[in-house]
Amino acid sequence: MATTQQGWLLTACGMCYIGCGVRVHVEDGVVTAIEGNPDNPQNRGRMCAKGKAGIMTHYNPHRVQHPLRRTNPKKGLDEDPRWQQISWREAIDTIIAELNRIREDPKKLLVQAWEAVGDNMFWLKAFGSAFGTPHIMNAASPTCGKVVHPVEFFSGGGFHQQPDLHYANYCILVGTQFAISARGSYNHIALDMAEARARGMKLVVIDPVGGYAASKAHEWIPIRPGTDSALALSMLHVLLNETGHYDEPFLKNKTNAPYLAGEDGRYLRDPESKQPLVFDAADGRIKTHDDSTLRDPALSGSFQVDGQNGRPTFELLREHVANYSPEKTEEITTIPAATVRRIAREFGEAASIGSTITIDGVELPYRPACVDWAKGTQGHKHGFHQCWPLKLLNMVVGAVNVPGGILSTAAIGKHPHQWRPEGGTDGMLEDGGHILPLPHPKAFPGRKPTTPIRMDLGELFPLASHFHTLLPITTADHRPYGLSYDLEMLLHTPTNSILGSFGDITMVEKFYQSLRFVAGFAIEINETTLFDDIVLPFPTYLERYDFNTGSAAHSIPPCGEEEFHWQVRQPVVDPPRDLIQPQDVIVEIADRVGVLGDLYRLLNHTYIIKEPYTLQPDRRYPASEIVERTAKSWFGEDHGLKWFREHGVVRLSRDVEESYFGPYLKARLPIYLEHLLQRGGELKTVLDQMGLNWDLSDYKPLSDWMPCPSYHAIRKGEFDLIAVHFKFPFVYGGYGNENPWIDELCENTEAYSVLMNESVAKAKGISNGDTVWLESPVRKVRARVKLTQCIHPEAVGVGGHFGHVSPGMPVARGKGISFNALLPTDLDHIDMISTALDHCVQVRITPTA
Amino acid sequence: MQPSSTSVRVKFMGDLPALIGQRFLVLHMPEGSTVGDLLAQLSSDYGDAFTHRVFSRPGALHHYILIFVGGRNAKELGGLAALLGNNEVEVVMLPMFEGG
Ligand code: SF4
Repeated sequence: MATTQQGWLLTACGMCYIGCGVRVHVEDGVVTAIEGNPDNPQNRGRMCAKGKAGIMTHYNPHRVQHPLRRTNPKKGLDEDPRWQQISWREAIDTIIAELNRIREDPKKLLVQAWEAVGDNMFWLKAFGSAFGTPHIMNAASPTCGKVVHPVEFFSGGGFHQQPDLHYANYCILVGTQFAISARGSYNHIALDMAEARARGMKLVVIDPVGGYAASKAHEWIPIRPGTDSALALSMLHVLLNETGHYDEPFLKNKTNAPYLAGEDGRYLRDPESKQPLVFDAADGRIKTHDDSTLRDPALSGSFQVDGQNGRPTFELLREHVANYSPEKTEEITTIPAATVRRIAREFGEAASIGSTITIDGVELPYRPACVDWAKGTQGHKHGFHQCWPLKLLNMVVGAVNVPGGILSTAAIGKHPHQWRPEGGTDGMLEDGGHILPLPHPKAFPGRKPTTPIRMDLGELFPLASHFHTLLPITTADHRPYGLSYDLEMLLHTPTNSILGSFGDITMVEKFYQSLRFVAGFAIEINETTLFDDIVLPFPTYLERYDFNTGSAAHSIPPCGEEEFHWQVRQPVVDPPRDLIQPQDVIVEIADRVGVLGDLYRLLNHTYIIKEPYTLQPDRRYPASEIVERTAKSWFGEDHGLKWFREHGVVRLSRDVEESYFGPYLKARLPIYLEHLLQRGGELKTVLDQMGLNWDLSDYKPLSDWMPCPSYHAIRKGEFDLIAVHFKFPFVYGGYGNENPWIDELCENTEAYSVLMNESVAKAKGISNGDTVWLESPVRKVRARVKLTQCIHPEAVGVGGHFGHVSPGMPVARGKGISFNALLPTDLDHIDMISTALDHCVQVRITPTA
Repeated sequence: MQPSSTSVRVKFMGDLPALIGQRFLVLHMPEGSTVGDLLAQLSSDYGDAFTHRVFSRPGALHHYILIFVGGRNAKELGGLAALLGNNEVEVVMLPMFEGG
């Protein structure tokens, strides 16, 4: 047991989803200090402010330490649940009775599984699947990750993207504070970013908010919210039609740029093999893309194939982006045409197209320029198309998975087992690589739409990977979709989904009220817990066993020439007497509803647990033994918990192919999304059958800038500003400001204030520090204003994840505002490709009386 | 002569019980049937709603479909060509994992 241990103990931080290696000092069973583990190649001994503050979360005096039952049947954000302490037996009995009630119709169960700190997410997902429900939420945010992962898996091959800070000389960040305020492997990439800047890499930040990233940049370019795609299309136009900066050999041989598209936009195909056709300029013949005689696939021209006219998709792209001259997009983005031209030219020149570099004796293409984007660009009504042309900027200069370019995280590995991206349909990259054999999110080739059974209408979003943003809409009225049942029960992790996973808080509150029974794990009584019927206490990360310690090991490790690493989490102190490891709770529940063998089978699969370590259906294993078995299965019999306690982390070197796999990939990457036409057509057929008239204009192979509702709203004059969200490094991705040290940071940096452009505020008679009314179409709140010149004049910046109201969070309660609560939630604000909820919302700000 | 048949117990997990309407089915399949034969039978019984969820194109399963035959991953037994024998078959439609 942990209590017998003293001194410095090795484990993994769990204050956010990343999972840095730490050493924790324990005296007489009390944690006295937490430091970074210098042996861990990910964080290299460093920690962020959240991690350092972990001790305060661990010793939170308001922690939930016993199972609780609500005695007030009325639920609401301002209702006192009137908790009553109960035994574990009563808590589990109650949950089992409710599960048994819906056992014959398991789709009535909703599992909110996101808790990426440890194993809980994979365990609850496996339980949900074993129980038989399709309703498993495994993302926290209503926007973040909605586009980047589905795009990355078919256009790069990994989970996320990461600028190659080791070699890049020019890096553009659009709507992201990569390596400065946010992102996986934060403590690693933050140092890499500092070193890259010190060696002369130019950093350009394009964002409505001039925040932390802009403060480190050589240049901050303010952009009107929701116009990222117009900028990207304009830069593409400059590169392809003005300066001629594009990587022709790469486009010809590694993308679908030469595939011939007919008048209807669909590929011309070989009648027998059905493979897409190209024109080989070497011998003047039409061939399939995979013809072994293909030498010089054409990127321009017009070719007759069986009476049809076909043109290379690259030519269609060039013509298309010509509609976005910098002069035209200046009116949309407010970025001067000359600036767009300069940035595009600098980017194109920095890409050094045609150059190579030799690493460990292997000659590789060298493209030291890249564009990165993330949450900011995804959170729009047309989020998919706001992002895709940004990805294309990297693609056209060949800067994908080569030194200096944009890299795909965790895409390929050779140890402790093998995984890699693979080609498939039409010769295109189809299956991304991932260390865990879980179905990765990918927007290619997508699924055939069908009449929905799922309450979140997943069947009608054939390119999306998860769909929870639809739930508050469909549960309010599911008749238009032919659904004739209700979600009745929610099982959830400690993640505060009610504030963090949806928009319009009034709708979300109603959605949670509509659930007949809610049970969840909790460290503190947050807003989601307020709706619980049964609360199950959850250990802190210093008391837990986890084989998965966060995303830095399996999904977002440092890219490039970096080591593979794996660590496990084990308790450094004993949990309070009445606490049980969450895995043990799930095993108990699974056993009693008769799905323990199925749960184990799915866990054996998820964690690749091989003989002789596989979990057997007739046994019950404690969490510690399961982590031990998994570790031994991966790394050998000698690598049990004891080994990890002594050594902390497994480190394995990676070769050139694992570091820069672009040239090794045997598949083409897309510059033209032909399959969107097919899926859009199929979707229209299903929607017509259902009598639904959705706008499917997003289903197009080449992106356009399409405005968000807020763009029109402020032109109509009802509102005059657009609120956007941004991240702080000290609350990003983790347990928030109930921690008193984090709260102090927030207070001292004025993080609880909303940002407003100084001159705009002055014109409204608003001064720095004033309290104002901030009103969106769905919510009106009081906010304190911080005036700055570092924000676009049309934008209002709302940072962090605040606005807590739960009495169980007395430190955080009443501080700052919840950005998500301001967001209208209906189909007009949902991206029809990705299901991202629009995160730029029209607001008005008025002084309080 | 009728080929001899065997009864196969099929268990559904993930999204599929909602489509099938139950978690278990017993199907009578000819001796020597494969996973592909079983899925073809289910496609015929449950139509496009089943086919579109399970197959990405003819002969190729969606990447989120997981099939166990007698507790072993069908991929290790030959995929769609894996023989059913007298085993219980589990067909799982997993959620895609995500982030953010
Ligand atoms: S980045 Fe996350 S895991 Fe690493 S020290 Fe900070 S809170 Fe802990």
